Amino acid sequence: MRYEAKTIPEGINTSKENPLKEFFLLVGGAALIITCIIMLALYASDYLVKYIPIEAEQRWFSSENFSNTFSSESEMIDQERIDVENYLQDLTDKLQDEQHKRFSFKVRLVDDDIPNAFITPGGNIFITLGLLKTVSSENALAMVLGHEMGHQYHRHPIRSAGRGIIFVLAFLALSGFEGNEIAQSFIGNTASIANLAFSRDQEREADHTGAQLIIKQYGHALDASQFFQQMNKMEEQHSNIPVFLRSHPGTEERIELLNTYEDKASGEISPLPAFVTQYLSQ
Amino acid sequence: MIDLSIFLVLLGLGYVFGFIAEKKHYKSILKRESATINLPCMTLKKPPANLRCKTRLVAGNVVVSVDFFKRFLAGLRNLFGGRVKSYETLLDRARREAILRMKEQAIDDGAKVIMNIRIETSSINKSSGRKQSVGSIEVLAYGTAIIPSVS
Repeated sequence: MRYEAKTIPEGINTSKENPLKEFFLLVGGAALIITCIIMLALYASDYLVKYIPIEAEQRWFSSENFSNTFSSESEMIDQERIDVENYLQDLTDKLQDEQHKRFSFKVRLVDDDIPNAFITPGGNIFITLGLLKTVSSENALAMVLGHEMGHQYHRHPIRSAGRGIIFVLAFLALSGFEGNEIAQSFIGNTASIANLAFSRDQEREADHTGAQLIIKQYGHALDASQFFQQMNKMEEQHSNIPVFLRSHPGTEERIELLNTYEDKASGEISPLPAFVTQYLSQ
Repeated sequence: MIDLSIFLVLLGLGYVFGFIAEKKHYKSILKRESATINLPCMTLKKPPANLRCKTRLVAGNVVVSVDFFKRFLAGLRNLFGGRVKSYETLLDRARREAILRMKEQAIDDGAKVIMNIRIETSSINKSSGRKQSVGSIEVLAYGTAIIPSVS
């Protein structure tokens, strides 16, 4: 036996490949798979949520859960305020559609000077004082209410809530179940999850439904776009855009959409009742 | 968000320092390997008969640690399967370093050949906690150094 000194060649037990390449490949692959899974979950949630009966949704998200979320503490025995709320509720009930009579709504007033209106799952509509001050007639107010009702007819609130749950679950799973604070804040504060932005297509759908509802009620859609025109003016005057507008299609687009309804109409514009304007001027 | 940025910083540090350490180590290994190349290491158990010599146990061991970047890459490989290339260089370095240290100990004693060499690997701190823990491995190479008698 003879020994011959020889250097062992490199690269047999190792690889010359740059680890960064492997890193980006694997991370990219993992991210792609996770994104696909989440998107599948979102589509599934969107599809299945429609099968929740409206009565169940109204039970789960009943108005008691939101009783003190947005109102100020001093709404104890302010009869005038209660009258205004009742007026809003009556208007909403009048606008109700025959084919959607299983849907019920609860309208509440919010003490905020910024014009805003939103709907949560369960059919809870919130209108701010600021919005009431901005509308110039009952027709315009009915348009806003009809728009929110339209969201509920198309089940947009519960669909947004379903998507929100998927995101929270995905976040929990990816953060390794350390996010107990997240779970608690979700469970304890459903209102904020329900108060999610709806997509622009959903907003357009709600606009159409709102216009149809006020045509059914008043016979015309005049002044429906008044509120948006007012908002447009405010947009130009202040850079401080109300939250209401941020997730919605451009105001001019909405005004155009509603003008197509108004063109075919003629009729009277009803003003807001006197006791409402009186309350607002306080 | 803070968690993510801490994670990325650790990843970056692991990559940079791991890369530097690895390069330095390989340079040192190649240099010392060419210096000790004339000392054969064999896995044969018995020396040739009638050889008058002294024998001694020689051993070299080394502990190498995984950096955060390598560990993360291996974790991803756990998902997808395949060669864990990030660990391959680590173990290669550890093994060669251990053998070199054994050879250096033998050369110190004046040995001409090392027989019956064996290599053992064990891991330290592997599963002491959460997935964020970083592990190290110890490689031990040992053999019988054959030191020929003078007469």
